[in-house]
Amino acid sequence: MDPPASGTIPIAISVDGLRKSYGDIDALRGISFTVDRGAIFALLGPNGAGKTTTVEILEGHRRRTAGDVSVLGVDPEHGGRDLRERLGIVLQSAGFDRELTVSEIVRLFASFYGHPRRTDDVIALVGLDEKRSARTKALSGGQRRRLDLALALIGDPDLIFLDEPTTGFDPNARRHSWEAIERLKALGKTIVLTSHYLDEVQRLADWVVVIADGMIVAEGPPSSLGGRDVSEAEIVFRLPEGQCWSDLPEAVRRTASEEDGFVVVHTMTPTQALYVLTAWAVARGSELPALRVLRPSLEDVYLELTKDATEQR
Amino acid sequence: MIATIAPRAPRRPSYARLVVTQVRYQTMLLIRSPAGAFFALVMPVMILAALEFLHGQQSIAGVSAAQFFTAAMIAFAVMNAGYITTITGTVIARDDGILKRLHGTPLPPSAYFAGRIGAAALTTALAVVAVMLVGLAFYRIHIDAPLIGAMVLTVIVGVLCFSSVGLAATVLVGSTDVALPMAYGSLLPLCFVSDVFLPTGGAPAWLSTATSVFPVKHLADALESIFVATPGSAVLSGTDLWVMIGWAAGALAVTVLFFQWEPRPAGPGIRGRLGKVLKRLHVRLASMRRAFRQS
Repeated sequence: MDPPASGTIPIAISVDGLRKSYGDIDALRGISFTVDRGAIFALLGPNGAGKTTTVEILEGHRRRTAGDVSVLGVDPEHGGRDLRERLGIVLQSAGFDRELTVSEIVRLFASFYGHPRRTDDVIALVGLDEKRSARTKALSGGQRRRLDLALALIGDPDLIFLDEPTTGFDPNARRHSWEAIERLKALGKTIVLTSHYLDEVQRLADWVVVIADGMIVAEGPPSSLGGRDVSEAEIVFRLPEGQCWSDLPEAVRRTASEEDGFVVVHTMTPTQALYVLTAWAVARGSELPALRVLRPSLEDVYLELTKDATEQR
Repeated sequence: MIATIAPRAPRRPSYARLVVTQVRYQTMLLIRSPAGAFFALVMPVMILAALEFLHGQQSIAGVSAAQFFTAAMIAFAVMNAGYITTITGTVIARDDGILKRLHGTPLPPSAYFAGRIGAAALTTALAVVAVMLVGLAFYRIHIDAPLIGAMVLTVIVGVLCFSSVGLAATVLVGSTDVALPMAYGSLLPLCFVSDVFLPTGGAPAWLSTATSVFPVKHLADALESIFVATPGSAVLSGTDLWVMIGWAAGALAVTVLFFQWEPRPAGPGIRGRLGKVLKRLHVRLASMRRAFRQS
């Protein structure tokens, strides 16, 4: 059961009809997806949706109830040492031996691999240079999370699992982690990420699968998830000083409504509507105060998609 | 998209190197952790000092007490470093998710087990040296040079046995909170009924038969017969060693088959589980009573 020779398949992971039950509870109810090599793939969903169950099955930590799973060409339940040499895993919560220092623990993990990356490089990559001689019990939450990442990277893996890598981070630390993850992608690594932060997914992911209640409710690139790139746009502004509703151009007035003192225009063709509006305003020598063009945010789409699952709880 | 992933060279760290690294780290952890150092190194020396101070000049059942206590504390050191610290250290590592993380790396499970056993052996060696030094310096114990080999062999077999049993026992230990109580709760009573701390008294025959099943008595007897050797008596007891080797083999089999790498989810606990069983029993009895009345 050797992993196939490199370069033969562009798919890093394929999952078909994956199910997982704990007793009477169905945690995963038949999900299917593929992850391309070199991509950042995100699993997005509310707590309890099945994200961690899914990645832990892919990592080989959990057995599935049914379905086909292939990770780097092998079944993770039987991948053994061959597969684990090529994976880097950041678990949602895992501790460290309290009495080891940062560099001791990184060197320990390096010793498991035939061709580890250099300890110093990895410590620098995650930004723990100044803490290399600190015992792990003295690290802050964010520093522990970075050490998690260092241990996942030390074996120079092809495929990296990150289970909620930035939960509990301050905004600055999150940005740092995002940059580190983007550097990994630049090195050609495949990354599987779970998150319930929409901005994180929007920034990092090439492909998003939204799961709710053990099922996939949507998938696609974050920019067009749930069809938000083709849905109606809203143009919002205030009437310029001295103008009234009936002065608005006919073409705009038909689809406009008034909400809290703003004019809101719903349109499938925002470019055209804006052209008409701005020409009208310029001709009158005035501005359109507080002008904005809005599209449904990823958050709107996400809340809409996961509404049913959340309401059932 | 064309995947360009560098082929992985087949070279791997050798198994021996993996084990040596594990032993080094596990020993470092054990000695750095205050609890580990106390149970494995300080406690046997402390108890030896106390026992010798109180009873060192006496002779018990025709045997020099100083000699006997030294043998007893070497046995106790083996059991502490082997059994107690293996259980507590492993269960803490499991509860903290350290084992789960390790299990996702290429480290072979058996190298981890070997590391635990090796670390227990190194720590025991330190403890035995400490006990011997205290005995030699303050209580003028003596051990004939030819017997040292027998002692080393017995201690090695003892550590192998007790650390393997410790690894296997973690299967039964639910969480860090109960690790130490369960470890000492199982060891200390056996020590007392197996005459580890006091030479054979008037224990009833059935009790000595019962205790001869467990390895505690065999380790204590084996060491005792080395330290209180009389001319002409056999120094190494094959039976004692073989019983310990048997326990080690059984325990390693249990470990390989049932060892758990993941933290246990906080379950209902013994009281919760008992409550469930009683409730089910109650429902069963009620329905039986109803059926009985109707008939």
